[in-house]
Amino acid sequence: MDAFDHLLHGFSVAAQPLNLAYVFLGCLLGTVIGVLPGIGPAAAIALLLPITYGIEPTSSLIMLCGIYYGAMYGGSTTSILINTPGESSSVMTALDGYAMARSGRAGAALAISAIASFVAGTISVVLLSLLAVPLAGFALKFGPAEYFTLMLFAMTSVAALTGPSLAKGLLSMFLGLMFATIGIDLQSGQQRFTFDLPELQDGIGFIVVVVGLFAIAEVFSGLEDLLKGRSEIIRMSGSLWLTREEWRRSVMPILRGTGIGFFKGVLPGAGATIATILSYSVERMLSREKAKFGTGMIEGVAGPEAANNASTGGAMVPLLTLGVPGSGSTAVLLAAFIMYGLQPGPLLFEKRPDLVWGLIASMYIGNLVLLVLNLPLVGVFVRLLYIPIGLLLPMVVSISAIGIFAVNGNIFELYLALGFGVIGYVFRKLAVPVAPLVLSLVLGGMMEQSFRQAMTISGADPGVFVRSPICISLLAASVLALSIPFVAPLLRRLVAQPAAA
Amino acid sequence: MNASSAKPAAPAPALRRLPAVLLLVATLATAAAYLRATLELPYPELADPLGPKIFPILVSGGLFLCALLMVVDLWRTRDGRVPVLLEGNQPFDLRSTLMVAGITAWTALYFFVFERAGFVLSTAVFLAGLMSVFNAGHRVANLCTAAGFTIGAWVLFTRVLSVRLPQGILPF
Repeated sequence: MDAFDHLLHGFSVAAQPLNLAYVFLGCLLGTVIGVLPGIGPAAAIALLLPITYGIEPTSSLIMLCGIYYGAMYGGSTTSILINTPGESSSVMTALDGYAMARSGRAGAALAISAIASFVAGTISVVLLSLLAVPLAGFALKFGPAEYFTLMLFAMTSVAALTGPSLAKGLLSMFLGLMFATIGIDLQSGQQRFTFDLPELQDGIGFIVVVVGLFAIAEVFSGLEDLLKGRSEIIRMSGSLWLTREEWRRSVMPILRGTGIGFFKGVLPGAGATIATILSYSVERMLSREKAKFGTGMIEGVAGPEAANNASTGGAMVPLLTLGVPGSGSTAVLLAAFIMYGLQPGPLLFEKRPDLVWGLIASMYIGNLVLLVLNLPLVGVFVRLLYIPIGLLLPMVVSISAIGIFAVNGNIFELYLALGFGVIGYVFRKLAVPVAPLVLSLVLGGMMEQSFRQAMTISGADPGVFVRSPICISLLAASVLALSIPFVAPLLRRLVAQPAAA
Repeated sequence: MNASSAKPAAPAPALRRLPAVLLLVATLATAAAYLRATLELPYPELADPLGPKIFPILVSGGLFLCALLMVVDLWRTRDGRVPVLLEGNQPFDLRSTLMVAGITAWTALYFFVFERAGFVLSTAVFLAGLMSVFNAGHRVANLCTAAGFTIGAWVLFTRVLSVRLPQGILPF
């Protein structure tokens, strides 16, 4: 069976009326949550997870993926209308999108954002469909040592690329690994760092951490912003349709943004964020009107929006084929898979092709749903921005409480989430990225098992991690990622010196 | 009037570096406490050759490495330049800190009574309290929103989605 046959089979799963309803619901809820200022895809998935508890895994994951890309899309609406990106990957959209809105072209900015997202999202899912089978086949060559080095690469890339300080990125990563070691050790049955609390025997649940770090911390930050005064909300104005000139100027940025976004999404690290920055820089570099960027250039919205949404398809490639996520949001998706007793990776393609290909097919449908939802209904979503923050954020705390309590019915986990909320708030103040923590918390257990299995197989010889070409390549890539924060400023200085001379 | 006297006083260099120093101290303390807790773990009778301590020891080593990177950053910028550690930082101020402490205490109280008083009662009171502070001057709207949201969420999660929420002292 080739990719096309698999995909046809996937469409027969995704097009079932119930699954179509879940795609629609996921996209709708994701967009609604994504529109709310400050709440990004990771928090959206974690907050809405309780809704999926009673649903069959395939339908549930179809809905969660809809929430993921719906929230990715929804973030751009807040960027354009209130200059408050829902997450870092929407920051570049705000530069020209908000300027367009201020000059009465909010409708055009939102329209190009929806169209660019649709085109990029669809192309990236086509690429995902083509790459899935060969990559899943390649992943069958992976043993414990290869998996350990792969996870090390994913974590170090995210830690090195999510902020200006390598120390802070690594701190976040090691804290995540530290939290992952809490609970019963799977190989020896020994309790570790549980302080004799039975609630900690199963470890710290990812929902507790994600809801705390993203949702509750956002409540603290949002209410603090409220105390200090918030930015002006631009009323939606101007036609939702683009002029012929705007169409002409948007086509190439969308295609270039799609390529950049997909490629960056496949690689672990700050995929979507770096993709949007790269796309914006490329568009500015290629433009004859460089000075006008930041004043409402449609290329500055079309390119980054395409890159942002193409990276979601790209990010699904390592998640589905290797079982290793490359970002905080996909780490939460992986945790959702595990919660349903499913381990993404090559074996899932063999054991549950209906689920994997149904999920991939649902993304084609989801992109279409997002376009249909967002062009005519953007005015409705925008109204969410007019809900007073003082009403909205307290409700987020209650939804968080429901989401956490619904998992185990455990009050202790609510206190833990509150603690992680405070940690998340302090991290924001100190500009410590939280994505490495979430990623390493989710991957930490698997990483430790792979490490110990590889060492046991090799008779405790650490040379096992440099024996295969895959391990060597991944270790070299990890070293390269860790060296970027040191090398990039040197390169910038070298480039700047001749220019100054 | 002297021009410089009109500008707000910039914090002294040592004070400006304080958050970075505190982060370093917190990192060192966490690494040391974690390493100590790891070394105190008993060795199980049945385990793989490496045992349950090796991975946490490597992680604590990583935390010490982070502290070392922070020391290097602070040492390189001892001449008054801004350390990379401080890039992107937002200043802490007393008013915000007190506000976050207040919300944390109120939320902790909410969680404390969540099971005892039940979802409906605790959530309605929690929301009404927080909304009355952060959406002040709209008493009726706040009360209606708190009650409406609570009942709506209760019906959606318990009746439609079959999610178990604490009943508490109320008969439903």
